Amino acid sequence: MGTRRDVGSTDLARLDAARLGREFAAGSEGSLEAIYKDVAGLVYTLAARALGDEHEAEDVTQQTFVSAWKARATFDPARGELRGWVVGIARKRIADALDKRRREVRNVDAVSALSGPEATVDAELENVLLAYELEQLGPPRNTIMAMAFLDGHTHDHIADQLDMPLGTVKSHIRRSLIALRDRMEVSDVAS
Amino acid sequence: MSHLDDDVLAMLALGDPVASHEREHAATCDECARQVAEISRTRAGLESLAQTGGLLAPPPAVWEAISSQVRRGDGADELAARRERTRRSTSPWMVGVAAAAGLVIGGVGVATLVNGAEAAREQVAVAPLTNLETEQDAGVARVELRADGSQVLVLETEYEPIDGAALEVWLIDENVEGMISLGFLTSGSETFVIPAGFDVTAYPIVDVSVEPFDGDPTHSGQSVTRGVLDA
Ligand SMILES: [Zn+2]
Repeated sequence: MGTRRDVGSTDLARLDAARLGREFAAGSEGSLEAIYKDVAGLVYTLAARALGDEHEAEDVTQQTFVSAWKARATFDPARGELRGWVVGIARKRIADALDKRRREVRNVDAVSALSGPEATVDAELENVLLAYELEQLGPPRNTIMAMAFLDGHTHDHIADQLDMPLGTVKSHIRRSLIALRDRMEVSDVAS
Repeated sequence: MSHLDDDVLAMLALGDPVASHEREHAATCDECARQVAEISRTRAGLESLAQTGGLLAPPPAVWEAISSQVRRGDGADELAARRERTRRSTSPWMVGVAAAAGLVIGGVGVATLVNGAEAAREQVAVAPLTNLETEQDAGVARVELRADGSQVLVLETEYEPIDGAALEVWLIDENVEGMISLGFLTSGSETFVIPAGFDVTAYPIVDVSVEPFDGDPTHSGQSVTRGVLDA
């Protein structure tokens, strides 16, 4: 078994991300929809987890993308990926929503015992990011990894279901694991 | 010997069997041990997804709300920003000239305010209006063609008098570069004559702004109601 790196699709994805960032900053038509398709699930899931309320999560998702579009001229493609910038706006919005909720709660003593809103968001962020990166793996790896880790199926069962040799399933899992480690490492989203 | 390759590192992190010399290397090499620890951390993260679940998708209504809000409200900030730029870059002399020009335009707007009861009209374009603060429906603006060939803008919208300021009605182009004042709103239902030869399609944004009585004839940047004419 060689040490061939899976560079092709990752490099293409980075080029795409860089192009989208420039288009977004320039206000090109369609770029808002493109970044929405990319990270709306991430933003919404993060908000739903942190806020525990899907309607509030919908509002935060809407506010995040509208704010991002209005502030697009302040996005600097040279300083990082657009998706990380958008997620940064979402973190702020979620923290604000939690903050507002805490101020509305009467029992100040009970509230002050809780961790701050930023900490609450960040506790969820890594987990949601990993779920996002898992989907980014693309087929068949996203399916295999979801079956193995989200659904907890055995490798034998997955091989059976996907009509794939067991060795191939195991190899996909190992490569996916490395790819996810790399993505989480370089991800400027979490910083 | 050289370090372990990614595949073996992943096998170690997954607890899969590896050759004994590979296991020994991982136990004695700091670099490889660090990598195994990192990959194990990713594995633990993936395992925790079993409890929390994967990504959720927002309902389609969220995107619809974003795209309509962006289409509708995008000019708001741009207008305020433009005002800021103008303020910073305009000399007092220029303000004087603009004031003179603005007074003429304002005068035309007021003078051509016409009575709502008119002869047969044909609707040319319509703009649902939105209160920019509450984002609620705020009535409608219609461009109508009168029997004599002139065009009017009919506003049916919320109206509340403001102390020390007036509500001014504007038609603005899509780039928020050019605009014309049609006059002041003094009731919830008002008709403004559009000057002959003025191409409404080039100025599709209907905007109502709060204009303080400060002698500055340019748009204050404080829009309260807006809509886009859809011919
Ligand atoms: Zn080593």
